[in-house]
Amino acid sequence: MKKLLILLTVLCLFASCDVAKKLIDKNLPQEKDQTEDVLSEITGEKKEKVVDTTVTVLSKKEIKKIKKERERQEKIASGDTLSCFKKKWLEFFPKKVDRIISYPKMYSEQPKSIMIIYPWNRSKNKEASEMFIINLAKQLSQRGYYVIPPITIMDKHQEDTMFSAQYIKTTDVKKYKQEYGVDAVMFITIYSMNKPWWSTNVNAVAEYRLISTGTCDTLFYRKANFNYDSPVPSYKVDKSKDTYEMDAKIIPLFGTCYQMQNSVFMDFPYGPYHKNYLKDKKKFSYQKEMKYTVDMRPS
Amino acid sequence: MKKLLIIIFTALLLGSCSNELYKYYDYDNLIYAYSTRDISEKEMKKFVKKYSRIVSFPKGTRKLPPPGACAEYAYLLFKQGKVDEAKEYFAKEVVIYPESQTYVNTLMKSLGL
Repeated sequence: MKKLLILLTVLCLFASCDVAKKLIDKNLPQEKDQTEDVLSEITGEKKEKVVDTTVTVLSKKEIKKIKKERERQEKIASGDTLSCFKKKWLEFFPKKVDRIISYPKMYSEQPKSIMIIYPWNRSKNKEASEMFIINLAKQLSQRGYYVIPPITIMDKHQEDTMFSAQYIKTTDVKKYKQEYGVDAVMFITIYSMNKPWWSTNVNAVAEYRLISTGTCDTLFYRKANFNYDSPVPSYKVDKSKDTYEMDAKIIPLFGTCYQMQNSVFMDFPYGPYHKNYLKDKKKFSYQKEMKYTVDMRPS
Repeated sequence: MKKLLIIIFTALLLGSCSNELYKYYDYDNLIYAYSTRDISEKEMKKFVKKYSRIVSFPKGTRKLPPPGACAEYAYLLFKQGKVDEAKEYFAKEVVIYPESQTYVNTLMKSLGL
């Protein structure tokens, strides 16, 4: 008897819940037709029922076709029109682009003197900035440019830490023309510079931006990801007794930085003190973003 | 045949010669030490002496001191208190690299010369 009573009460509860739900749904304003109902009430017109008779069911093949067509159109819209084979081909055999096309402003503005602003070091290596500034100053000098000596840049940074690529805007470089008489300013951002203990590979990632002090235009831009993994030392240490010795841990990093500058500025137009000045317009140039790998480990 | 071999050999030798504009000697070690170590006044003397090689014995295809080397050397001499010598090397920098005029003037002004 008790069980029957319990069953009845449960049933009653369910039924009352259902009734309550229906009541609430009925009283609630229906969002879909609300505006149309109001409009029809005001105008007195009857709503026309639209019956869609053109619904067609597509087969799986047709759906695939439509999807492919959409993807193709999206690719064309984004400018990616090359086929997979062509892409791979260009990866291994890239198209030769002349320096005059890659760096037109380097040839039109013809900078003679360059100032390397103290690099913005975002890597974990504390001395990466010094390594970059020393090696880059040498590299640019060897390519025929006048480069403001690194010692004075470093001392200026010690006096005022705001004298760094981190804080100086590329649009504010005109003052360096008046103050130092330089034609261009080099901004470097170092993203990583490390050698994991478990590996022989040294990785360095950096971004270079050469800005004209006359027009504030970018003359040269490159983002480089450099990997050096070779039993051949990346840097020839000066073993003469009459010099300061570098820490043994620093040498591979310094050497990688040296090799990196060699690779990154391999296609940099020659400066006025080089015999090939303005004669290298038709020579090769790399892309703006490059991944360099020096891997000579025996397999 | 022998002559041809000699010609090829000499051509290879000449080709392998350094084509660098300037000789930097141990510039890397010196500047790296300057930027990472605390160089005392005593040590500064040795440091300047080592640096003088770059300015005094220029090599490379241009047979001139590298850009900025004379100004850098003058700056180090000034730090050592050799004002007259410093002025001399600042002037030398401007003579070799005329585009350094404004930079040298600014640097000399900041040093009170």
